[in-house]
Amino acid sequence: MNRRNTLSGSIVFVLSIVLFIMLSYIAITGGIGKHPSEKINCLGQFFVNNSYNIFNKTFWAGSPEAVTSILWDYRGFDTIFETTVLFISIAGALVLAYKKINWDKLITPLFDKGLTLIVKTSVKIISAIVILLSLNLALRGYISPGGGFAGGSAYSIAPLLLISGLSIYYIIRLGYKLHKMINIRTIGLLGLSIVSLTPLLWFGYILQNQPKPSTTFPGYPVYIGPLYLGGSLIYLNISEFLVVSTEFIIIFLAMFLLLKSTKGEAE
Amino acid sequence: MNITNILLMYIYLIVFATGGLAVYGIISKNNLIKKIIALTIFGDVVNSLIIFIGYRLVPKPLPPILPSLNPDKALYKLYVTSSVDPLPQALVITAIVINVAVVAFLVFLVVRIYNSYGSIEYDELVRIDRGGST
Repeated sequence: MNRRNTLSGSIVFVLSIVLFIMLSYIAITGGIGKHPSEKINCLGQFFVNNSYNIFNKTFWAGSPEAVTSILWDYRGFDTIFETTVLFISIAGALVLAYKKINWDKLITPLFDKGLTLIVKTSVKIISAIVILLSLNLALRGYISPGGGFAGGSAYSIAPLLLISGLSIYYIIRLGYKLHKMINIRTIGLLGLSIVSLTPLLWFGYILQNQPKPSTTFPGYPVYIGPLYLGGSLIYLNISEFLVVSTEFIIIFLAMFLLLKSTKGEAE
Repeated sequence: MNITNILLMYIYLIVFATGGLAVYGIISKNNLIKKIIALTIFGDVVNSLIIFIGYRLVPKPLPPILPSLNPDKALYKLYVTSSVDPLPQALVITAIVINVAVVAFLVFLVVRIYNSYGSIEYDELVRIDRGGST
């Protein structure tokens, strides 16, 4: 058994070295297409030129953040399908976990054991900072780096920290309940669909943001008075923030509830 | 061959060495959680490679964000000629989130395996499957 393991281990080691040399050779001889150079790809150059082109607004997205405008305007369908993949994977994980969660066992008296007082206090402070930072990432995602995905995944770190520092029961008492999270996720998905389907009422196309010559859709407002809104990006970012953050929290909750309610069964 | 090309090759070598290590970890590690960790490292390697290809070799490259809401022609020209490629970054954000979803699902499978078999060592699982005692 042991000898076989060392043999297969060394074979795999040699194979990965061969793979490494092959890939490096391909990259150095230009096999992956393009090295970094003074000019970027013309498609990327188009997005840089047009995302906030106030001199010629034919193809603009109304947002100085080129990455977010690609995500939600130029290549919006990509992001919609990505949200679908996330949705399906969370649904699969919930199906695996849900019937195994023993709700009766979890309602029994709750004691906070957790770690020492120093760890508990610092975890609380850090998670408050994390929540503030993630809200900043999500709400200002259309003018600064960030967006719905980054903000949502940053937000979900806070409950995870609280789970590991205090206990799963603490965050359930704070209000992070499984069914509530699923409902908030549904609200976020509803917001996404409303914002993306509204242009159809004016014979626009799905996920249209700014007016285009081929349609009669007037476009989402870029400015309301002095307030800069950036078209549809802010609404989509907020909805996506709700979806992603609650989906990650659902994963953490389901996993820790599963671990708690099947504790001691395996042995 | 100038210093820029040597640096480029150095970065490629580092990236692919990490990739080779990750592949080695995926195949040869016995613990399922360690396999998943190696898988995430491999995903990160591919993502860094994609972002690196979008880099722009100018003296002062800018992030793909226009620094002002009311730019004049000069600022706009500077931004257009020295911003890095935003497209790989947008694609990589998609890849990262899907990677996280896949990893979450895999971790759930490992938790279920642990609940059923009491172990996450691959050898142990094979032994149990062939009729050995737990």
